[in-house]
Amino acid sequence: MASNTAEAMAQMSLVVEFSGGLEMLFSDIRRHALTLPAKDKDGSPSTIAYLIHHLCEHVMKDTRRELFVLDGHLRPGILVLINDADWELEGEEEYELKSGDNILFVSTLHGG
Amino acid sequence: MAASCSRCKAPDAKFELRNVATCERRFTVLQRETRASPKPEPRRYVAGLSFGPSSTALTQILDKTARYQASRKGSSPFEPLVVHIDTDLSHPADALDTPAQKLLARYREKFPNVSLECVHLSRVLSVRTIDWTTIPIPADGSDVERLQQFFSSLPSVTSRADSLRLFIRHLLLHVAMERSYSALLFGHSTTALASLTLSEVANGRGFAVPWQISDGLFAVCTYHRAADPAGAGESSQEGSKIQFPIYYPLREILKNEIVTYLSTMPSVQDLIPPVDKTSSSVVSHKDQSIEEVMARYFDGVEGPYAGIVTNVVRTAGKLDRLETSQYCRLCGITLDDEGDSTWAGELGDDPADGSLTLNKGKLCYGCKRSMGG
Amino acid sequence: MPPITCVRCQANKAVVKRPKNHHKLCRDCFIAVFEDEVHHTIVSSKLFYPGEKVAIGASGGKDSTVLASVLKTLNERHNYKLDLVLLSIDEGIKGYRDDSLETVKRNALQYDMPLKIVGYDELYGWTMDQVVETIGKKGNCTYCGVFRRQALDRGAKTLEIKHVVTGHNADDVAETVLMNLLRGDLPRLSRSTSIVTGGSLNDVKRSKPLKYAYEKEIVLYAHHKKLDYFSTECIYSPEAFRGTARSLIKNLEKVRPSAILDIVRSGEDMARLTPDKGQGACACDEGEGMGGCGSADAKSSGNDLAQMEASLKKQPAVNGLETEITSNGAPEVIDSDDVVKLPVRQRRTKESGPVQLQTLGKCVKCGYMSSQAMCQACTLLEGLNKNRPEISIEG
Repeated sequence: MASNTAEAMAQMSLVVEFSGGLEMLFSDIRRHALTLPAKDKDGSPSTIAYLIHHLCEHVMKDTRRELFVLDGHLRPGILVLINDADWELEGEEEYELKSGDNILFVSTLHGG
Repeated sequence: MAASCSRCKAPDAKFELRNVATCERRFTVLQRETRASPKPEPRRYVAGLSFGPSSTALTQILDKTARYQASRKGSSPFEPLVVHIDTDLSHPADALDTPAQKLLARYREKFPNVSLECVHLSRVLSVRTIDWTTIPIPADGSDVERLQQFFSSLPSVTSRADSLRLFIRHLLLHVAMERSYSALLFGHSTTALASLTLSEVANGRGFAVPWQISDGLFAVCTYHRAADPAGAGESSQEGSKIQFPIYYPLREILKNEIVTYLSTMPSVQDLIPPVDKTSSSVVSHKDQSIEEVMARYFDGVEGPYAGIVTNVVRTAGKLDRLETSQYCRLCGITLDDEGDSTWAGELGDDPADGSLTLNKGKLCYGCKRSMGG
Repeated sequence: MPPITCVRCQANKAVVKRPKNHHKLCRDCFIAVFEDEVHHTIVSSKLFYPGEKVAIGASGGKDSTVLASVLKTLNERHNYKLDLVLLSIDEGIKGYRDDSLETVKRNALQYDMPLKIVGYDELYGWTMDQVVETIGKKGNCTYCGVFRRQALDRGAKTLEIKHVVTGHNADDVAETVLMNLLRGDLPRLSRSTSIVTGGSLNDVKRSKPLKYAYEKEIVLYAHHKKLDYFSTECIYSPEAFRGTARSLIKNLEKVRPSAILDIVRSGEDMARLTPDKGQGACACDEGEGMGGCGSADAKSSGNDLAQMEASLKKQPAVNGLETEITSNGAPEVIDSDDVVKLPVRQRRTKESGPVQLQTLGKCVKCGYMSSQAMCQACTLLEGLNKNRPEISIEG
């Protein structure tokens, strides 16, 4: 019982970075050290989709959420690198986060 | 204060047409005048029916015209055949009482002056305007199974939607030619043609756009299969080339105008099955086809920016229709050797990209993309 | 999921999935392939000649930074013998350009290239801050784009350079193709797809060596090479993202990544089908040239849907699809406007592509090439100067 609670409470630490103009939506801070629960409320491992939701709810102060998320998914035109690898190689939104992961969101939509 | 109709000045303008107030009577008249466009003799037409608003409106117009023509003395016969292609592969091709056939029976009751027919998609396999040796259709199984396997072997939702659209077009053309009809009609609205134009551009078929969306004679090439089974694997022989007229009679009408038009006839409107609600909310960006992305784009653009929608079709209509001696053996449109060699020179040959080297000189760039990636 | 191995070297972990062909590559192979492809474009399109002096339109943004870096690498690797210069435009927007110009200055040191910065104030007598003060924020991107287009050419001329390369990428070209179809601008459609524009005896030649490079790969190249680039939103640009051609492109890429290059291919093919190819409007309206503006919405000038719709309504109804057509019985007739077809078809050969602007005249005021008596920049300036007559123009 106690271990179950401990497991449910288990946290992991991540580094989340923004660049290509996205940092503007996140208080102009490029590098955020975050602590997230290792499992979501259904007990499934936390994924990138969960992280994106978390960022919208708790980290983003800017009201222009549609510049980050459209129709419930990451806005097309924003690249994600998971530990420097294209998230398309890692399962995209379904990728299960691990403690110590570095997640970089890069906008391709700004500036030429 | 109700606006007056800007066309006939009747006081109750119920509708807004291209952002101009229009009364109900005038609205109907406008539709019919527009529809009076090209009418080749003799007047035996095949029209496609998808059960959507546009093709339903086309069916209604044909029914009305047939009744009018029959009432006139000395008028040459007007024989419309409206064909629904049943794309449901979950039942055998010869199944009776399918949902499509039931719905078609209701159309038949409503439109007694036109012939309505249901043709199953699997019949496309006997169509000779496609060279079946160039696309990966399995040899074994029933026609329905072969098509099922073919569709599931395609690499993307876009490829499936694209092939399905081409098959329906070929099959309707086949019905029209086989039974000596004089023209094939499609119910596409301006909005649908604009969406088709940009979809084809995104499919890499920019070269084919003027052929796809223009009214008039369309060159059709037929292929003979090698009679000897030992010849399987080799491509078919090119047969005769025929010119066949294809028209889009509703090409001048926006989608929302068709919907408004139908709203003046509730009994016709009731025939149209409700649109699947899931299409309006994105499940995942990846599960959409290019066709759907474009349709959604134009749904958003049509209301406030109707001029832009008509502009796309008008602009694409100004492009030349180049004709070469070779035709794409899937989409049926003339091949663009010059474009192919220029592109290969610019991008460099990529031997690893098998999809584009496959069937060289037989399929166009867009069809290679559809079959391979 | 186990790490995926690079398809090229079969050794390292793949970190990039290429949009054009789904190839999975490791960092080093990706960088090598990206550079090889730009080299192929340069060679196959014969963009440069040995000893040529070339100005790189540099905004400090990702595209021009990657362009500068790749050109420096290729110039050394393949011995192009190019004399490369960075050319930057200062639009005069306080708080926006300052940081990006700092980036360009650092790039000049990093790449060991000379840098020339030309200001709108010295070229036109107006900074963008002053333009916005006069006309407001609405429509200011049009001014900025038109001015920038000429600014690069004028800046190049002061350096006696006849060739400017810009960072236009495949996404930019695809966007322009769609925009010109929506806008109904066939001459511009045919021009925007060519890799080289301008270049007759007196004018500055423009080219886009990154024309076939995906924006995604440009960003990844900059990331993996740790390039120093700057990105921000122009403080004057509108932020209506929905419904723009740019977001349409990105949606298509998500559905089928090859779509962007497929649109470029379609655009090139359709350019050969335009009836009046090569005889279109002046090149000064091609778009902004160096992607200096940070707004996705204003990537090419005048792509505001509302603006387009308004100008379309002004066109005579007889040109429209929406005229009430009466039957004329002739089955060949397609649209009333189909008569503009030229009887003789012009087939494009590769050689004739770049020199299509020779028939253009010169602006009566500034001498810049233009299809009108007065070029767009001078027309805009005239309007501005009427609004604030105390400002005088030089140059």
